[in-house]
Formats: sequence, C-alpha cells, structure tokens
Amino acid sequence: MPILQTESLKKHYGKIGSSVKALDGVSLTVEKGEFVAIVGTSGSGKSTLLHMLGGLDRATEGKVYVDGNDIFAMSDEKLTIFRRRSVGFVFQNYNLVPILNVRENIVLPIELDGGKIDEAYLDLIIRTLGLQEKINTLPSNLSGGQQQRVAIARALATKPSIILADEPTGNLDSKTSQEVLILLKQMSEKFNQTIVMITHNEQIAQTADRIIRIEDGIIFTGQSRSSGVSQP
Amino acid sequence: MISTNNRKTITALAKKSLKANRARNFTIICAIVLTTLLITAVFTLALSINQSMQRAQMQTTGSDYHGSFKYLNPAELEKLKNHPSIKSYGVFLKVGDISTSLFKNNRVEVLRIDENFAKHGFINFIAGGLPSQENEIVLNTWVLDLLGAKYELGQTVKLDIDTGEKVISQDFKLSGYYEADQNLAMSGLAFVSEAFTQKNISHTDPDISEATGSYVNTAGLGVMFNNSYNIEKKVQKILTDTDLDVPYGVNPAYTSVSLSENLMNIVPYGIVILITMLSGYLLIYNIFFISVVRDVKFYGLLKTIGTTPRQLKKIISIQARSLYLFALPFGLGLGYLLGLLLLPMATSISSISTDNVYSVSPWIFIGAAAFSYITVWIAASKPGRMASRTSPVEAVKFAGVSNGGKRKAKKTKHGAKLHNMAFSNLFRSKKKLILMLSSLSLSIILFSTIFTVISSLDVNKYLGAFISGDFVVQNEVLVSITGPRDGDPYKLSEEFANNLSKIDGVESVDKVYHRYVPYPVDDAIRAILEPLAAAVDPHPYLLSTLDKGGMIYIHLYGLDPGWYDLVDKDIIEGEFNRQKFASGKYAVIAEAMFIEEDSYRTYYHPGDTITFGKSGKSYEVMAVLKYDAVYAATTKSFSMLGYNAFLPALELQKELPKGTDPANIVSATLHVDPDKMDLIEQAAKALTDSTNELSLKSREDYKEELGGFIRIFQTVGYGLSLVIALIGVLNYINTVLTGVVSRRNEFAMLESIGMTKKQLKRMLILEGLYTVLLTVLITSTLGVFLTYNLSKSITENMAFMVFQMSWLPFILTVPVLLTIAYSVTLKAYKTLCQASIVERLRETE
Repeated sequence: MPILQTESLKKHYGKIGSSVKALDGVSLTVEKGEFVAIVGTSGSGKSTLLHMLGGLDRATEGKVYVDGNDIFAMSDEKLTIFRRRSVGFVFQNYNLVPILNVRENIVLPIELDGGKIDEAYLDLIIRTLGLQEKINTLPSNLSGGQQQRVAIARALATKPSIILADEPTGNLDSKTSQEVLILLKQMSEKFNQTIVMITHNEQIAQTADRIIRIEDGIIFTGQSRSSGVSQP
Repeated sequence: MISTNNRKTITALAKKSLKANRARNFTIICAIVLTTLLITAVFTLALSINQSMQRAQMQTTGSDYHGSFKYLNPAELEKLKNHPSIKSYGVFLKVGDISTSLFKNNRVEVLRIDENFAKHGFINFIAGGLPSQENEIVLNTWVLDLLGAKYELGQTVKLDIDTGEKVISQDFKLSGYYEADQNLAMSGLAFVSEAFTQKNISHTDPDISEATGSYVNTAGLGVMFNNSYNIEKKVQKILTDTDLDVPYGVNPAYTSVSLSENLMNIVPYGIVILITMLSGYLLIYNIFFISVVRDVKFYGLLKTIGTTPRQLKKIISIQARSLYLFALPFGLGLGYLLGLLLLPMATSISSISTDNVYSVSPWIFIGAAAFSYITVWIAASKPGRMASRTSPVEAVKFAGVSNGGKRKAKKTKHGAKLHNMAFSNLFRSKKKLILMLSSLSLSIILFSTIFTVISSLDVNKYLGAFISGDFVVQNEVLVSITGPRDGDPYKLSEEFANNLSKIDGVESVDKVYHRYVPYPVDDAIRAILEPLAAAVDPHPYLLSTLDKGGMIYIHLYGLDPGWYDLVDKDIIEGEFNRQKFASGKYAVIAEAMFIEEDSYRTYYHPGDTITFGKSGKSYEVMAVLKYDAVYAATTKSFSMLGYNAFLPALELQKELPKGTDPANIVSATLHVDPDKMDLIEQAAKALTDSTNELSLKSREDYKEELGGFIRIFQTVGYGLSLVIALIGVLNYINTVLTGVVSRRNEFAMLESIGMTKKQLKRMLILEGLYTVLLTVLITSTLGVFLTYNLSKSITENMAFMVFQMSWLPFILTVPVLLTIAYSVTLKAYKTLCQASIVERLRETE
C-alpha cells in the first residue's frame, strides 16, 4: 500500500498568462519504508514538490494523499495538526528553535500536539543519533552536523508516516554529510520510516533506494528497484 | 592620506536606508516630536514665568532701569548722566506727597518726570500725556477711583500737595491718566509739570531737604547699560569715575527673582526635562537598536565591500539627524503652543499677580532644540557603534534575533510548553526587554506619583486652615497672605459683627480679636536664646533681641467659644479645659518661631505665668500648642522669636490703660442654618461690599479654590504622564512588531513542524501577558518604593497635603496594559498571517 501518492500535481505562481509553472502535472507513488531521493537542478521545482507533499503549500491543481488522506481537502488548522502527527521535516538550515535546548526541540512537535512523550522511544532516537551528551545544550552551541542530527530526531519524534528532507546536507561538509546520510538511512531501516529527500547532489542521491529526477516541473526519469513512476 | 569624496555615497546610503524603513521612521519621528514638545513646553513655561516675575518685580520697583541714583542735586545729576557707560537714562524730580485726607492709607507721591522715565516706568497712558501747564497733572486710575472722578481728560480735581515746607492746595486739570496696579507698586504716582516745580519748589535746596528727609527737589536718575550683567559694578564704577558719593540702587528684577538665582526654582523644571529626555532616549535608542540588529546583514555586507566603521556610524547618525530635523519644527511649534496654554494655569498657582508675559525668547527654541538633539544624539550613538562593530563574517550568518549569549544550556524536566517558550522568547534580547520595561515602568511610576500627590491633597486640612464655620468675614487689612494691606483696621467692628448676627438664620458669630504686643525678654526667654547666641556666627536679630531693652513680639488673640474645638487638635503640652479657660485666668500659648527654618520651641510650660503688655494682668499657661495652631483664626503672619498666645475674647475686649489702641477684630465666623444659606450670603455680602477692607467667603468658595488648584495639578501632571506614557507604549508597540517581523522565519518553521495558528497566537498573547506581568512586577516593587518615597517627600513639603499612599494607579494601569498588549499582539499576529509559510520559510534563504 503506497504511503504517499500524488495525482497530476500542478503549481503555478504569478498571474495567469505570465505565470511560472513550478510543477506541471506530477504523479508519483512512494511505498512504506522506501528511501526516495528527488534530484533536480535549482529551479526545477523539487522544493515546491516537497512543500506540496508536506502540506506546507497548496497546489493549483491535483491531489496529494498521505497515508490515504487527501491532505488538500483539510482545513488549514486540520492540515497543521495532521502534518505534525504524520509528517516530519528536516531542513537544509536545520531550523531549530534557538531558545529551546536539544531535548525541548526534539519533543516540541509532541508537546504542540499535547501528546504524551514515549520516553523509551525518545531515548532510543537520542542514543542512535549520538545526542545523549547534548540534550541540555542550546542549538547555538552545536556544530552543523549536530544540529542536523537534532532536526532528524525532531522529525522522528512523533513517529510520522513520512519524513521529508529538504537538502539535509546542503550546509555540511562532505564527511559530516556522509554521517548524516548514513544516519538517515539507518533510521529508515530501523524504524521502518519512509523518507523523501531532496538534493541536487548526484552522489548523495545514490544513497537512496530510488532516485526521481525532476526538471522544469516535470518528472523526468525514475530509476528504482521496486515500484514504478507513472509519467504523463 | 588621500581624501576621497565619499560623503555623497554615504549620504545616499543613509537616504536609501531611511526610505526603506518608513514604519521605523514614523515611530522615531513621533518620539522626537513628543520629546521636543515636552521640553519646549517646559522651557516656555520657565522663561515666561521668569519674565512675569521680573516684570512684577520691576513694577514693584517702579521701572525697568538697570540701576538708579537717588537724591541728587542738579550738579550731581549733570555729572552722572553724561557718563559714557550709560546707554540711556530717565530723570525724575521729587515734588512731594498728596496730602488730601482721602489718601491717608494710600500714599501717592508727586513727581516731575521726563518722557524717557515714563516709558521705562510702566506709565502707559490710557489717554493724554505728561503735563506742560503749571496746573496740569497726571493721575492713575485707582487714584481717580478714590477721588470719585471720571476717566476724562481736562476735568478739574482739587488736591493738596505737601512739599515738606508747605502744603499747596490747588485745582488741577487732568492732562493724562494711566493704569496702575495698586497691589504692586509701593505707592501711587502723580506727575506735575516743570512749570509747577519752577513756581513752587525751585527755591528748595536739595541738600537741605535730603537732610530733613523730605527729599523735595532732589532728582533721581534711572540708567540703562548695554546689558544686565554686573549692574552693581557698573554703577559703582560710575561713582568712582565721577568721584561722587550718592545713594544708588540696583533693580532687583535683574538679580534676586530671576530663576537662575534661585536653584530651587529650577529643580522641578529640570526633573521634568530629565524624565522626558530619559523616556525619549529609551524609545529612540530601542528603535535604532532593533533596526541595527535587523539590518545587521546589510551593515556586514557594506563592511565586506569596504565601508569603514566611521562611515557606518555616519550612516546611522545621518539618519538620526534627518529624522530629528524633520520632527523638530513640529515639536517646537506644538510645545510652544502647549506652554502658552499651560502658562495661565501655572501662574495662577504662584503668587504673581501681573498679567502673564508670554516669552518669545529665542532661547526657548534654542534650548529645547539643543536638549532634544542631545537626546537623539545619545540614543543613536550606541546603535551606531554597534553597527560599526559588526564583523562581516558573523553578520552575514546572523539569523536575526538569536544571539548566542552566555547561556550554553538550560535544564528542563518537561518539554517545550507554549508558556515556557513564550517566557524564554521575552528574554532573547535582554536589552530590548529592559528598554521596553523601563520605558513602560517609568510612565507608570510618574503617573502613580502624580496621582498619589494629588490624592494627598486634603480638603479638610485646606478648609480647616481658612474657615471654621459656614462663612467668614475677614479683615483684609490684618489678614493677607501676601502682606498687610492699607486700610482702616477697625472696619470690622463690634457693631458690624452685631449686624451680621442679626441676619435671619445666623446661629452664632465667632470673633477673633488681635493685639500685637511687645514683650521684654525675661529669664525664661533668655534661657533659651542665650545658648543660641553663643553659637558661631549668630543672627544679628538674635543678638539685638538679647540686648538691654530687647523685645520679642507676641500676637495675642482673643477667641470666642466657637473656636475652642480647634485648640484641642494642636496640643503639645498640657491639657485644654474649656471652663477653666473661659474664666479668663489662663492662657494657651503656641511655640515660638526661631530664625532657622522649621525650628520651633516654647519658652514656657503649663503652670508658668505670663503678663502681656501694659494690662498688668498675669495669666497661667494652660497648654502649649504647635506654632501655627488654630491657623484659621490667626492673621497668618508670625513674628520671629515671638509666638502666638490665645486668651478668651472677653479678655481682649476689656478696657485698657490709656494710650493703648483697642484690639482689632481679625475675623467673624458665621455658623448658620443650612436652609437659609443663600439668603444669608446675600445679606452678608451687602454688608461687606460697602467696605474695601472686608471680604466675605463661604466654605464653598474655599472648596472651589481648592478645586481650581486640583484641576491645574491634574491638567499639568496627567498631561505630562500621558506624553511619557505615550512614549512608553510606542516603545512597546515597536518592540513587539519588530520582534514578530524578525521571527517570521522561525514561526514558519514552527508551523512546518506542526504548530497551529491558534497555538502561535496563544504563544504571542502569552508573551504580551508576561510583559505586562514583568512590568507589574517592577512597578509593584521598585515602583511602589519610588512612588512612596517621592510622593512622601513632596507631600511633606507642601501645605494642605496629608500623605496617603494610593494603590489605585498601580491597579488601574494593569487592565490598560493588558488591553494594549492584547491589541498590539493581535495586530502583530495579523501582519504575520499575511504571508504563507513557504514564503516565510524562503525569506532567509
């Protein structure tokens, strides 16, 4: 059963006539447990796609199903709540809350949801990501790699259906990038998480189970071992 | 070094930066306008009051000449007036006094003056001019009133003029008349012509008349120098140069009453200006600080491409200066208007009785502009330094609000709760928080202090000081706060008091009798005064009192029984027994007033006996009272080293040894039937209006007077705190709005990980709530402490105030603060919602 599915997704910016077509009919399917990389040059529409998948932005046309739910049918409020329960985000610039320490940052989505913290699970994530020494540290005192690990932990904390990573290694050096990628992959395997990662770096994309190429808002090729990518 | 012409570039950059920050500019301009407005108003008030006081003093002195020489003979006059240091001069010649019996209590001097002297002596003719014919004369309006003459040129008035040697009685034709304030000038002036002096007094030898003290035919010379500095030295130099030794005077208007001479008068103005500058500084500094932090990338970038720190500082200071120049005219104009509006109120509290002089001195504007420039300059210089210090590498990375700070970690048991986040958010930039909180607290403390002082005004204490019954008829000749007035001190007679008591509805009339009694220094007094005289540098008056034949002066009052109730209140020693007191064997005395301020002691104690004056009767002291006890009954004047003594009224009504004047009646207090109030007031008014010397005032009149005072205090005080509060609120609005704007990206991220709009709103509202709580925390501790001490020391130094701590302002401000915080947060939240998450997320990329 696909965990994520889009149907001829379109996103146009600007006025009719002189509009920019960021996405021009994208349909794709991601199965549970898959680690997918979306590759494209800058301006290809890959970030827009990711924002659509996570429900951060609404499409001009088309639909996105996460775990069988049509997310654009939800109200803003509902969508936000759905997002914090089912989607985890990892950003290029980490986007940690500067006033919160590592632990607080990680549990923030659970707190926002008013849910109970699964301490054992939390401890497991923290240990796996090697953050146990840093749980009281504020983000400004962490290195880039450490900050990104915190962001990954935060994305995992709510046990989401899917993790969306936007250039997670974009701000890191190659050695740290490798470490972070290995961790991401480990996580997806260990917790049977689905990960969709955006990158413009071929080498990094190679880590994924499947690579989807996007150019000018259209999916170009999809190499994969398992399921197919339908193209219009 | 090669100097490059980069000023244009820097100015252009500053201009661009100004254009890019319209909202910030508006707030800064508001701050500068408000600051300048208050400072200008204060300057306008201070200088106008100063000028009014000077004018009043000049009118009392009689002219605005810098200095004068007196009692001159023609040779001396000729020598003096040609001295090169004199810019202009006026001459008068003493002729005599009007001796017509109507003027027994109002002295009118007769002079011959020249045009110059008239101009400088406040002789502003309503009609006519100086006399030229032998039978012409100039009088002022109140003299005409007294004579019962019309204000009409050419009419004939008969006057007697005493020229020392003889009294000239003749008919004069009025050649001119002018307005004069009877209360200000020492005496009235009448002017005659040269023809008159030629005919009547030219034969009088000035040197002889000077010796006899009539001074007839001596001349006076008023002189004007280039400026009013060191008048005394200039006058003395003229005397040395001319080798003359004549009496001279220096116009006190140029020295003693000017504000600069009396530091205590400047203090309140100084405090207001300081508070204004402080709150203006807090706001302007905070705005620039926030804008520099926000634009730190911009400055970092400029630095990377080679802008020097000096130039960066300049970019900020040029902006500050342009905003200042833009705001200045508004602040000055509005402030001047405000000052003019407040002036009549301010002067009505002080004892100045002249028309208000509206100062147009350029110093108002120069001073206010300078002070507000200093405020802007100080406020902008620190942020300027900050901008110049930005490291280009750091700046480009700088995310906006997070400053690493000293905190490396924080411990938590719980996760990130909304209220915890909101609380931590407040402390992100401590500087911003402190500036905002101090600005808000300052206005609340100011408001509560003013509120407390005003509510400490005690109506009963005020009324008690002036009136004890429903109406009081007062003998204005004896009782006057500003000093005794001329008139017949016996106008308030037994007969008059009887007529008052006959008015229908008057239940009782309580009179106060008064005698001023010299009392030879006895052993009890000597015992107190001698140790004081032994001190270093004793006051000469103390020494002369202790000389052989020295006297102290006692105000002896005779009280009707209606006053007895008031005696109890101020007892220090002994006990007041009505029956015993009424027997006439006992006296109640007040403490004596000593030379040092606020020092009072009594010479006698209960059980001692005193004999007052020549009556020969001695009284036993029953009780000792505070020096100003039964104030409402007294003449409100106290004699140095002397004291007030109270006896039953009957004792003062008694026949006295031959040659002594009978006692005066100070006042008659009416207790009346409340239903007939209006009728009684009309009847009593009819009685008092026929005389110049008596005044009728009701309890209501005094209440209204106090109400007027309170209104003035309120207008000025609350106006001031309103402006300061406005500055504080502006500071808050600016801090919150910029805080939200600079965290847009962060909020977007929070939303992306699942914070709902509702939660975000709640967090922002919590932030506002915590700000209010922190403000309340400051005001309820430090604020209460300051308010308590400030208003306590103010009220203790003011008459009719009983310090009473008021909690209302602290409580009242809370809902106001909450409302402001809520609405400002909502506004900030709305600006935030205008852009989508993705737009906001992208902003920093």
